[in-house]
Amino acid sequence: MAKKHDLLSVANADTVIGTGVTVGGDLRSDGDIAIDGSLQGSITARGNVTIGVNGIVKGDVTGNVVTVAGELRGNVVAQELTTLRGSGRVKGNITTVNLEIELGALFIGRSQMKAAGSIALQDTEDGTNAVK
Amino acid sequence: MYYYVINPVAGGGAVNAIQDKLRQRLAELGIDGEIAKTAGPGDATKMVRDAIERGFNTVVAVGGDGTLHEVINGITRDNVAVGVIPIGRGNLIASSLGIESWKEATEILAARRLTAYGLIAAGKRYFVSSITLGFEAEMSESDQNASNTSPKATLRTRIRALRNQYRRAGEFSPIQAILQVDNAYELRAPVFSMRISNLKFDNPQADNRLSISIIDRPDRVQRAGYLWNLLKKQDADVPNSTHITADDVVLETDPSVPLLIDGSTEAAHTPITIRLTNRRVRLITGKQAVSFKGA
Repeated sequence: MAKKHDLLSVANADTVIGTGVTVGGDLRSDGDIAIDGSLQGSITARGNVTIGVNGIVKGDVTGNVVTVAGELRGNVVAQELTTLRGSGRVKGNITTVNLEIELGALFIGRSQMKAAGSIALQDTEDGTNAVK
Repeated sequence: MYYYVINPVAGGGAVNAIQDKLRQRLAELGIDGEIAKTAGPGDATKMVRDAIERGFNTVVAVGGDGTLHEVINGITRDNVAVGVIPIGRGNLIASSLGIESWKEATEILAARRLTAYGLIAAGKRYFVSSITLGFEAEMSESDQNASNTSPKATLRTRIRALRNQYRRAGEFSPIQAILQVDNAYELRAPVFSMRISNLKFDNPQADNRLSISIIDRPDRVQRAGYLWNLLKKQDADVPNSTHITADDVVLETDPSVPLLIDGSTEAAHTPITIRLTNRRVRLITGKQAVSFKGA
């Protein structure tokens, strides 16, 4: 189990995947999601998504504010803000209103900035979320 | 009409010492009724079913969590109210409902504040509060009783029991668990302790939904905090544990392990399917909505 100081503050997230836990499949939540374990699958949240320093995600991430301090191989869609912390490593494309990349972060992909309010989550008929 | 199911062996037979006073108090409050004693495990469930068929609309478990668990599993109609008079030491559910003593319980029964909780199916049984597995479930009942706040336990006894629990917690090997969650994803984790509960049980204003908490490999400080919370009958959680919510989970472990259901050492093991149902049980509680967690 990772020490407290290694992690972002994720105590208030509705869904928290701790270090040492592995998830296969798609995570969805109306609230916040925090990952400090491993996930192979997509993350879709109406709230914020945080990938902690120990987190490894292989799949797309969609949320309001997306923060990456671990590893992400997939695309990001953030309605408000995407933050890559200094320990973060992203391989994929980022679509967001605001983008913040700290010194030391690794980003391989394309970024697309959109106007505020222009990225909205829309439920599709098959239950997945699509970007409008 | 009140039907009281007494477990005569609860709390080491503690009910025998108070039953005259209890009957008198119930009569004073105008809530006396038929009193029956169980003869063994499973009796309470059958007795409650029969009582409901005979027209009783309030059933009261007089005993520990195990007695209440059996009573709840005997409820066949949504309009039947369930109360509890805690006897003995294993009364986590009663405590969660704001009922700490038999005297307090009689007042609460008379006040008749009802809250409807969704029943959760675990295999063929129903539960209302929680299922636990891992270290907490495997702690022996004697360990739990020795470490509680019984006035008869000396400080030395309690410290010895706590030290013993801490050592055992350090030696406990995590169980490999696989959860299939809502048919949507699979979660694999090494489990030191897992608790599956009803969100609504902690906060009646929340939705009925499964809340799953997993502690995987606590360090020494986290282990101490976990045991301390267990002693205080609080949520035995640690920072950075895993939390998810769901409507149903299929739980498998390697190897198969016993489960603690509603605080009862029920004969249930993994693998097991746990799911929300449409069934409700109306519990007579002692808490206002604002005093529940998260309210």
